[in-house]
Amino acid sequence: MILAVFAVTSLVVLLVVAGVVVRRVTRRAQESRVRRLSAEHRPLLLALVAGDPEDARDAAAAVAGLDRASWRVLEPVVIALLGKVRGEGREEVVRLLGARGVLARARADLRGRSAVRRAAAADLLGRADAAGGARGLVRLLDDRDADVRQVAARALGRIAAPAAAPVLLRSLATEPPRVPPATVAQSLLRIGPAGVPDLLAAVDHPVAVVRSTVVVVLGRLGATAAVPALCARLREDALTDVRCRAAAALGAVGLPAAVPDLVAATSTASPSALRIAAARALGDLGASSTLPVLHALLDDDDVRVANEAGTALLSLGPPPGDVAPRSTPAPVGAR
Amino acid sequence: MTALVGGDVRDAVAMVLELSTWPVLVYFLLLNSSYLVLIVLAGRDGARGRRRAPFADHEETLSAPLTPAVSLLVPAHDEAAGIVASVGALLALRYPRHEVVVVDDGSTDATFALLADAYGLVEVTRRLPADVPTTGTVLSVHEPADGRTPLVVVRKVNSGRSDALNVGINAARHELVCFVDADSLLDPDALTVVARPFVDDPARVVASGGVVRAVNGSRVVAGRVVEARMPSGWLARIQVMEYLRAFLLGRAGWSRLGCLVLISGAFGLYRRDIVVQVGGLDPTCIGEDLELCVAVHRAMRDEGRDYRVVAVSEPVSWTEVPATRAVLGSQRRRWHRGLAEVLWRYRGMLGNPRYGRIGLVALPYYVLFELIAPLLEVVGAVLGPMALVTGLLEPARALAVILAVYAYAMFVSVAALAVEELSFHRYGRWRDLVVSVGVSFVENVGYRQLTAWWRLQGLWAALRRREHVWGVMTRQGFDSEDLTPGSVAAPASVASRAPVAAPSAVAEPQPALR
Repeated sequence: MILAVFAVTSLVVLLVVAGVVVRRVTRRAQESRVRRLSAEHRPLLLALVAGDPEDARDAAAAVAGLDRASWRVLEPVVIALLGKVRGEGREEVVRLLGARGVLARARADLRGRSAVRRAAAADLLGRADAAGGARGLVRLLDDRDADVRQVAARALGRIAAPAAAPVLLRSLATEPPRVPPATVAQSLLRIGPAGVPDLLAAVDHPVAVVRSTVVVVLGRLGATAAVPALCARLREDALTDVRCRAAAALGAVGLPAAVPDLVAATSTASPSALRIAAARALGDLGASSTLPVLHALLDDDDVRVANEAGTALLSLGPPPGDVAPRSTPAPVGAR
Repeated sequence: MTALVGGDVRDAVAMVLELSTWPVLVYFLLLNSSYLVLIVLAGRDGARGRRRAPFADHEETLSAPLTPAVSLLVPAHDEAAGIVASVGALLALRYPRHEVVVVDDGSTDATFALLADAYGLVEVTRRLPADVPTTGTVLSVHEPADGRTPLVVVRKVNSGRSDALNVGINAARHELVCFVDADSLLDPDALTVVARPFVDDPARVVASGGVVRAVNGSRVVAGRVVEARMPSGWLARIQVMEYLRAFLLGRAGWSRLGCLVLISGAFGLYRRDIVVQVGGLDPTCIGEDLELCVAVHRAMRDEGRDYRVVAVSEPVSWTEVPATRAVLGSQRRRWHRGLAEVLWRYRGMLGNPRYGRIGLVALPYYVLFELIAPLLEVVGAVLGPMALVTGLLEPARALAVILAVYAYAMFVSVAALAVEELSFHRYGRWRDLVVSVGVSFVENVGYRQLTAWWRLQGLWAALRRREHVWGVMTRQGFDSEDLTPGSVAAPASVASRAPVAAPSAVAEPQPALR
């Protein structure tokens, strides 16, 4: 019995080792083939993305006519070009992918059974900014697989269709959010100012994650029209986190109209985290009218607030003498 | 042969064998089954990650507006050999917003002077909040004069690595804190990837652990590992395999189960507010990285919060492992003692349904299969030969048992090798593959028994509650091709010794299959 266990285990060990060796050999052979073919067709690819229009068209035609085996190796290389080139070169790459049927296959794969296929298809359609893919991508925001939902949201951002903004925001309005807020925020940023009306409509959404994401994106976009709404979030929101993000957003937008609310947020009546965020925002905002407030905060009992005020003052320009917190350095308390 | 041994000894051995046969068999069955489960889970996780890597898009983490900022906390005690290059490498990590907080823990060499010179440090009168308690008096705080470099250097009297990190936590400005050793080498994308769980699941993820690998023998250029290689000594080679098993199988498997209770102190990322909530690291605890992680679990469970502690599989932090038996022995004794102390401290969580999988699965597992494992191994190593000598065990049968046990141990090692080859294939040379397979066999003969003995000594020290003694970590240095500023590599044989705690000596990951 014991010998049988030994024999079986040893056999498994040998098989695993053999598998490792086979895997390494095949991987290297594959890598070598990719290298060889890439080198062989590099002039064509360069002409495709960087040549004059006529050369690019010739190169596209040549690559479109490659045999299936060569194309299978080159396809990932061509797809990777999407993230590296812009302008006409990129358009040539997209046309080439269309001509080889890659984009049509991706559209079909959006309804595939495999989550990996759906996500890969969504990723490609987003990178290619492919027309006709948006509806399928929106549907994938409700996919059962979290990665597929995330990739679809990212792809919608890359396509940058303003109509996607409310859909993306809706994906946050569940508990837990169906798509990570960071991905939605990034996509909304890519959509840009065209999405601001939808963002303003959602700035007081009942779900906190929606509010906090909207506030951050509005700040990053520098949406001056959003300052009153952001000030309202800073003053009134039920969650300190949203208020802190609103403060940071106001600092990023940089309109002096936000100064009174930011100054009020630094008062000792506010939570510590908000006071810190507001002090930092005053520094980001850069209005000279905030100097007295920041100077006063240097003496604050809350060390973090004082430090933040010091950093803010430093960011506002040359230190006027005693920028750093004036309190005597205190030994940190004993455990 | 039986005539050589007294009847009393034979009877005693027979009785012990009779009493222990079934429990030991059940024990090893459970142990090996648990390894199998972890291997399967890690394998599935690795395969899943591999299939989905093409659209993981870690670049998005670099540009997403909600990516949390990170404070890298670097305790440094007498790290003059590599501190400038190390800080330079950390500042150069690909991440949208991070700062480096170096806590000079009473260095007696030129650690601070070199930093001050390289970065134009000026003293600032910045006070540090007392968010977590500390014992070492802070002497001064310094920042670069350029006002742009996100670096803070805190000087304090020596009080040990944990206390230095607590000072760093107080000095940290950002919402995430990352513990990094001054002599660790991080892959350029390490921070991006280890922070990704916080970006994807900000409401629930409270801690994330990266992979730590042994750097010995690898090619290092300008502070980066450019080619992973097996070291030349067998002791270090075996540890390379241990680390592979621990991180590619153990941590990944536990993470998949939602039972990860150990994040390496050499490369771990935590939410700062949570670390503050649990009081930071405990300087009185010798296994402070395990203690912190368990403390976080307890705090989250006590509050009934929905939370996650996760491990990411790549990229990695590279650390130098002991190359001598003396240093290795000291390290293993310390680790096991730390394990014992932490498990004793959190004994209230053991088997307690209130703590869910942590209380019912992870911690009991650590007690059964980590804490007392060396005891059983040593007892087995003693009883086996005695049973042979007394004739209670037939040589053929004994040989069969030993072969079966070794074959299974080899299987676990080659499984880690397979995950490495399938997912990451860092070790590209055929020679390294051959050595790795050789290590899987060699480590069972002598090394296992030796480490079991050291761990048993650590357990005994914990039971006797002897005073903590920190050893000396003799560093051999990396096989670096750039030893000028700009390289993280330490020169050969840098001995790090601290009066209270040697920073580089206490944070190495514990590479059992955890």
